Amino acid sequence: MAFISYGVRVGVRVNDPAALPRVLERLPPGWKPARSPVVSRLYSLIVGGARTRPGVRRFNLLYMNAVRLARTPELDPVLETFESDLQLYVAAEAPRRLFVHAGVVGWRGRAIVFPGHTFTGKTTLVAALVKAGATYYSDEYAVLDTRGRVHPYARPLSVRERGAFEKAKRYPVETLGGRAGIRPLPVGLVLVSRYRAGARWRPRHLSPGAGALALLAHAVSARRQPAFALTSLQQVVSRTPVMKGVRGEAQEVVEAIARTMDGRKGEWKGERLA
Amino acid sequence: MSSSYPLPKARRDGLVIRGLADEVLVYDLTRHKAHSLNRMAAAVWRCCDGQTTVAAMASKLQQDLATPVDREMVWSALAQLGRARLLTGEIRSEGNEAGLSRRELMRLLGAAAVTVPLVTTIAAPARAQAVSCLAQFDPCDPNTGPPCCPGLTCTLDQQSGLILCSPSG
Repeated sequence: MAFISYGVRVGVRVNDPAALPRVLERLPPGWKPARSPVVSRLYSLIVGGARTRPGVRRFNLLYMNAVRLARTPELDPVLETFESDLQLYVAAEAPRRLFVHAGVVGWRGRAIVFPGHTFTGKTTLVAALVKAGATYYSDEYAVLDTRGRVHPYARPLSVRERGAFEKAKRYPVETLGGRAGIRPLPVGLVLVSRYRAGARWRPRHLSPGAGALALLAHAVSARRQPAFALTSLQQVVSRTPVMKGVRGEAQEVVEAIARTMDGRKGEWKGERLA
Repeated sequence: MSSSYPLPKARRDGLVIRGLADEVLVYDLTRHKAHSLNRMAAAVWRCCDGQTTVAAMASKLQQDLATPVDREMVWSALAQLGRARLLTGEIRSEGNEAGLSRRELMRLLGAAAVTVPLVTTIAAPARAQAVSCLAQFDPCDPNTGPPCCPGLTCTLDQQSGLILCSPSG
């Protein structure tokens, strides 16, 4: 099958049709089947299946074009590699979109963006905000356009309940009582933060230039399309406060964010929302 | 105008430049570094036409920015712009002004932080540095950089001799 995700054309083939539903679960959010079979990257999944006789191991294999990406006895790690590689490929190659590694929620028509690497507590903060009434946009990427708006990348939240080294579990946002956003939003607040147990939330404002660098540091295609990246980030930081700080428990930050966003509502009156 | 040192000239080739309200964002296409120039650093950079002396720059900036601008401030900005490779040629001052740190400059001039030039630089992330986790057989670093995806460990691969994300256990 061939599909399009954020303008990137990708193909997947499997040797066992029974594996296809599990492959489809791993495709990026918002993918659409492509009419044309012409793709820029082709993944091939060869499912090993059950042992045919003692002493013979049938591995599950994953190829990206002609390069072998994975070879394992279990299927799950192969699918995780597929998802991870595909996700990064789409993020790096998407035309007219800048993928910034970040959590994103919508709050009264504006997006709140938390750039950061894994294990900085993005998903925890996103989940806490969703429980407080925010609309879910992403726990992985802020997908920005040239107008500085964020598009949804609403894959199921990837939650590690017992620490960093536990395998993440996927939760659809509906299981948290939330819903996913479907239209692009202008950015209302950028928070550069990382979790430290017991820390108090006392953020400081970054200048627009420092804020742009903080976002660029997490941009997947910064090197491939720097002019586009700078234009998108220029749009974001020109109109949006960027705050930085160490945070403790998510609830304290959620309340502070709600106050900040509600306080800024007056500034947005008269501005046209997307 | 004659000068005992080469007059500073801003580099324009191989750069992507975007203006913000008071600051300037610059991306160096050859070194893959991004710079943010604050108001004073951006103003000095704009003055670097290869024909203006430091004294003339200080005088012009004082008028344009309506704030006291010292030669030391200009030298500090030039030193930072030079380190960021945003000037053509080498910058050498006659005194030690260019060697002053931002903190020393603030103490010397009694200036507020916003009027002291500042060039902030980051290396643009390579594609793999901006990801959540690395896939199987991706090169990894157990101490820095993104971790391997769940089910994988960053270990020495005996076959290739490289440190790669390999299946745990």
